[in-house]
Amino acid sequence: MKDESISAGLTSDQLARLWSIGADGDQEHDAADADQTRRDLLLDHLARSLPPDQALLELLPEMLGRLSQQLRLFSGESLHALLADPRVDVWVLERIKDHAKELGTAAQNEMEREVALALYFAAIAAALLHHRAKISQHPEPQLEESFRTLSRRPWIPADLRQLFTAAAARSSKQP
Amino acid sequence: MRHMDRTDSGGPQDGFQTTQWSVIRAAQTDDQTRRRMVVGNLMERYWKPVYSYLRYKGYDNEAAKDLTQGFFAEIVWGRALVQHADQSKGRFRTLLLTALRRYVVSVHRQETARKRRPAAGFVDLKMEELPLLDATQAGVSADDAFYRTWAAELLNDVLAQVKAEFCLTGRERHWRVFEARVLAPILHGGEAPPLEEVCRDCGIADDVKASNMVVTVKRRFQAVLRRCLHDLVPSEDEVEAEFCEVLNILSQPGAG
Repeated sequence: MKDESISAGLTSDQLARLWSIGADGDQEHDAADADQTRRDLLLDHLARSLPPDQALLELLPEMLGRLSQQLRLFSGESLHALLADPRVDVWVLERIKDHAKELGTAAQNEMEREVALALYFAAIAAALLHHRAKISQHPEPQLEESFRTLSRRPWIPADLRQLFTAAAARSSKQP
Repeated sequence: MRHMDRTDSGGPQDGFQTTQWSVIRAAQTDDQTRRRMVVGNLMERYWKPVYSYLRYKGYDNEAAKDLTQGFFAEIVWGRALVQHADQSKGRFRTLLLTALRRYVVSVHRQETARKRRPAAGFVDLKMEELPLLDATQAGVSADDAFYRTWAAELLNDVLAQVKAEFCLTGRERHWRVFEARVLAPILHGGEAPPLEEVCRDCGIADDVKASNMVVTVKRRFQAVLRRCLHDLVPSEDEVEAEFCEVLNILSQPGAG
């Protein structure tokens, strides 16, 4: 039994109008809508900080000193800020990559998977650009192709598109 | 973009959905405890349409509540309505309404509503008095009241689910924009506020984004409503027909 009833006491006309929201429509908005949703999802992820590393937490008693130092370094920093900061260590970018992989695995639909994939490659791109470190097993040509594809996605924020463009250029120069 | 090094275990993770018919079939058992639980759940879901029907048949609040309890106790439970429900013979709500019509006729013949109340009530529901539908409008029948209350309950569920989804995923602004532009004009009348005003109130940068947010929530509403309808019909093919049938019921002039 619900305490709050939005539609209690409505006329048939009002109910029919509410019901009609369920009719298919706005097809022309589909593409823009999907991109907007992807963009919202990505920005939502980017605004969050990394979740606690469970493996590290389990080793807490013996690693307390070092761990607390690491946690202090990055606690509260958004993923967006970490990806943009060249001073961020490679291991943090690896954690972002792993976090994105987990998001991709838990994704409920293709859109969420695409967003997780963008985050995943952003971490790889940042490591490549900021540290010349390759934190992925993917061959260079595949990485370059992925970076280039992502750099053209309209739903990706401009700074990340620049990151992907620069990483693609860097990948193409790799021997 | 297909080479993210992940395992195959990351495929679509559809939740287990329990269709209403699968719930009803679960009640078709000799296990009394299980049957009672399922009938109790059905009562919780359907008491409002039943109660509304009875109010429109002329019973006052107390009598309608007593008869609602009586109907579920005597007919749905006692005469094992659920036991004999057959999906191939139509919608469950229609079966329930047909049984309810017969029940009201038998009550009228035999005795007053209050005497028929089961000693302790079939299920301990807190049945608040519901506002009558637009009773001042001529031509509202008890059947209309039943269907409209049923549809209103379904819409409540859908709206609550959509709102929760957006709020739990940190997209409250989507819901607020949808509420201002779509819901409020329907619920409270009047024109939708201009997009610029909504943008200002919700802190959104531009009209296009706000417009897309409305479309996003509408599409989610469509998906959730269709998922709920899917629970009521035997196959995916019948979802659209069910959608149109209910819209038709709500749109009939006599239905208010």
